[in-house]
Amino acid sequence: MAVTRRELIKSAAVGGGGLVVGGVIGKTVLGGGGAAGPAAQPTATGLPQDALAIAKQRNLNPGDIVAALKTYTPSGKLDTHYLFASGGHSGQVWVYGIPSMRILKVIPVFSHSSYQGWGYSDESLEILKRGQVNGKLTTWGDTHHPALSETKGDYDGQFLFINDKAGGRIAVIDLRDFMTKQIVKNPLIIDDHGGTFVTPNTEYVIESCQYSTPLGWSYAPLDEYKDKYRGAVTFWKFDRQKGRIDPAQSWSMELPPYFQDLADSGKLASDGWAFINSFNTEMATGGDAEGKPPMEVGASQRDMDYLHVINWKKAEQVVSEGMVDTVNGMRLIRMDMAVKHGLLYLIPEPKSPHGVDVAPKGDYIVVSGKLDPHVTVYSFKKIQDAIAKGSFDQDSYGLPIIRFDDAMEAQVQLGLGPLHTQFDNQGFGYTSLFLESAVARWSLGAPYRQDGWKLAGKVPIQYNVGHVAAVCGDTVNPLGAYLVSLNKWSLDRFAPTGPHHTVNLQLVDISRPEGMQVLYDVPTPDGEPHYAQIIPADRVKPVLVYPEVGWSAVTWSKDPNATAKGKERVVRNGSKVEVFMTAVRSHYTPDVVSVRQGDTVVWHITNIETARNASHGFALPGYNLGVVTDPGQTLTVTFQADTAGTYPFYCTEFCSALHLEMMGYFLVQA
Amino acid sequence: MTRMSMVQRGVRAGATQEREVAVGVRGWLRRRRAVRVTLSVAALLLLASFPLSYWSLRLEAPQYPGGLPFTMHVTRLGGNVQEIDELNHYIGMKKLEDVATLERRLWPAGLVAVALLALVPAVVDGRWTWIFALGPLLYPVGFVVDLYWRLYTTGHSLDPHAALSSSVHAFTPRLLGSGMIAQFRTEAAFGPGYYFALVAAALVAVAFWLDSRSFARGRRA
Repeated sequence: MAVTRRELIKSAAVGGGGLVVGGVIGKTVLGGGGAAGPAAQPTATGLPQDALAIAKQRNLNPGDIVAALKTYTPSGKLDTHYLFASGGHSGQVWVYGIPSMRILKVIPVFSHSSYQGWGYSDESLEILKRGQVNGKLTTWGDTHHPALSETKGDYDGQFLFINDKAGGRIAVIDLRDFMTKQIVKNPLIIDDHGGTFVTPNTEYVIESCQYSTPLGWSYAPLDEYKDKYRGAVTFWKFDRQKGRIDPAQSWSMELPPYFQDLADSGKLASDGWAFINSFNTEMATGGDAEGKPPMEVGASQRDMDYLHVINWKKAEQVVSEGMVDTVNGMRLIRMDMAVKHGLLYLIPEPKSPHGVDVAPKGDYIVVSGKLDPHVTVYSFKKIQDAIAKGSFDQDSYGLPIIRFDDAMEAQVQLGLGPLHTQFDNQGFGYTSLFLESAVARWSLGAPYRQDGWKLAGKVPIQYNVGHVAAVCGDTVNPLGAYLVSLNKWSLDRFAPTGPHHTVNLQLVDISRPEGMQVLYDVPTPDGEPHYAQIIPADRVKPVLVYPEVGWSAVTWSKDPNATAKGKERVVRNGSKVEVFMTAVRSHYTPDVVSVRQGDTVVWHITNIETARNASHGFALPGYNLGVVTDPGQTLTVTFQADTAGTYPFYCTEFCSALHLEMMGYFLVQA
Repeated sequence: MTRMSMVQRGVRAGATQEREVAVGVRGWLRRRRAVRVTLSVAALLLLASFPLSYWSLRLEAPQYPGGLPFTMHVTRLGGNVQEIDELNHYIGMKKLEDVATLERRLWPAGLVAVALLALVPAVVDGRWTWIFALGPLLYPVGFVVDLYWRLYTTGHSLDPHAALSSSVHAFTPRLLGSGMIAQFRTEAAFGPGYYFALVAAALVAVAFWLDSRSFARGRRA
């Protein structure tokens, strides 16, 4: 063995590999690789020769080999972390495994998914309908910022929240079955961006607006912008026991029409507070066709925009004392009330910021002005001191402005286009540099590090990074190890597939203090992830089949329409025909259903399987119906049998060797 | 008075006092202690086998990592019965719960009866009482014979209309060891319950042998 390792090091060095690679291969594959099965057991002389031959043939350099060893997850082995990424305007949520970066699942949220029957079953339609604006069913979304539920500021692996920028909506995903359980539409605002962020014990899910409008979805002309247009932030109350947002217990705060952007919630030292960026304190309203500056210019005139600092614990009290207006059913703290009770402060921040991120101990707030080469770090203590001192400037709405110098702790020059920051367990911050296409590592000051507030290194990424996500990188206990760079452009990174390019997610090793290394590129073929979060896999404990046969995934209890084997039936009541059907490998019972044209058909399907993986589809072509039941699940489809004809229905999941035979006839007699 | 002389006295008493049969405590006291204890242990082992598995079958195929277990207990069937039934329906085999319903209904009471039979020679004096010991002695044999018969008949009464009837023909699942059913490798074995019954039968035989020696000595005396 020793001879082999020496040989390997020698040959790696000869091949340009150097000692690092030789050492890694020697240790990982030869020294400690005993876990592999007999087929993978290296022969004493065979493997290193073969490995180098393969590396040579595939044109892999030593860095590639290290990356391969750090990411390759052998067949049958599981990933150690989940990455939950938004899907952008696909409207869904993507789940990846780390370090392999294998795509594990797409969770359908705001958009239909025929693969998972989302938007076709009564249950999923009911959830989607809750997100209607003025009665218009929205069938897509633009997901941006997922937030895992937290307990004491740490991911607890129970729920995932996600916002829809386009629809101003929030969805709740239950991680017991990775399924969307609720969608709420914000009654004040049309769209959002500063969501979702949770308070340290998931008391609230924070959602702030993006583009200002008159609150409550009403109309006002643009020349009344200053008086009638407003921003808002909503604190959605989360009922963990029910696993649902409780709109009746939720409340909002009116904000100036400054185009609020990303938000973060305070923690530990700053628990009870929330922070929101803004980027149009100019209150530009466009009009470039009429000779006014376009929005992008109009909104970039001032050197400073405002960081909004909100005392939500105190605001909660103000709400409970009823000092609110109610707009479109939502309790709203008006700005004058917010000023009177000291709930809302502004701090100047370098212009057009993107991210605001609270450091692990809650003591610092990091803001990146994307047109400024620094990250600006505010001290929560300094903010509190300034509030206590009470000497403020004022904006045109009478909101108190804390002076920049009173709140600022440090500015760290990182490079061009800083956007978003995550943290690790070694006292480093990681900030995406959009314009530079790089990720900067920088050291936090005391109490995190003694060499604080300094750039510590950069790694180029490909290309145009937006957010970054590190393991638990926005919690009170960041774990370091990996960072994923969510890049907007992929350009030449993948085999071309025509003019539309995928985004590129890059896994970066941040475990070594001496440098970062890009390990792997992964496309997201149907979506543009904005933000993502990474959680150790052992904190997520999904069920593998539903707890009981006849289970409702929505109510998480036995479905009243569950059908047991032998109790299948068709019940006619006037023109309403109710079908109680079971599905099991490889037949439906009943497999012939006859109705008359004009009947209302309510079709309950119970998958009576208890075996893992044994899902059954139910496709009814001609009626645009396609749903999927997982083992144990009961769901319902309701439709009008308005066209006569003969419609074979079938199982869309290749469930068994007799899958093709899993079909039946739906007969609609004229 | 020694134990031996007590037994000898009992034998003599039995011989002389109009073949009076001592039942209960007196019968118990007349046997050698070794016989009493051995039979009691046998009876306890039989009762202890109640919750244990008597026979198990494991089906193995690539898509069932860890295999599909099946176990047979006195009062229930264990393992992944639903999934095995699900698979069996393809070849037209009866549901496992519907096989050997008569035996399974009688089994709990039968097992208690067999345990009591093992105690009869311990509490009733006289050589003839050993006829009852045939119950526990033959119990494990009966189990195997019945199991084999049920395996045979179940495997030979497949529904001819089942989906896979043309590719899976009548067969007898292996009672012990490895076999193949379609793509499944099967591994059958006796469970701890059966071994308890087996040891109980052996103990009954040992008790009989000990008692025979006593009788022989008694005659000699």
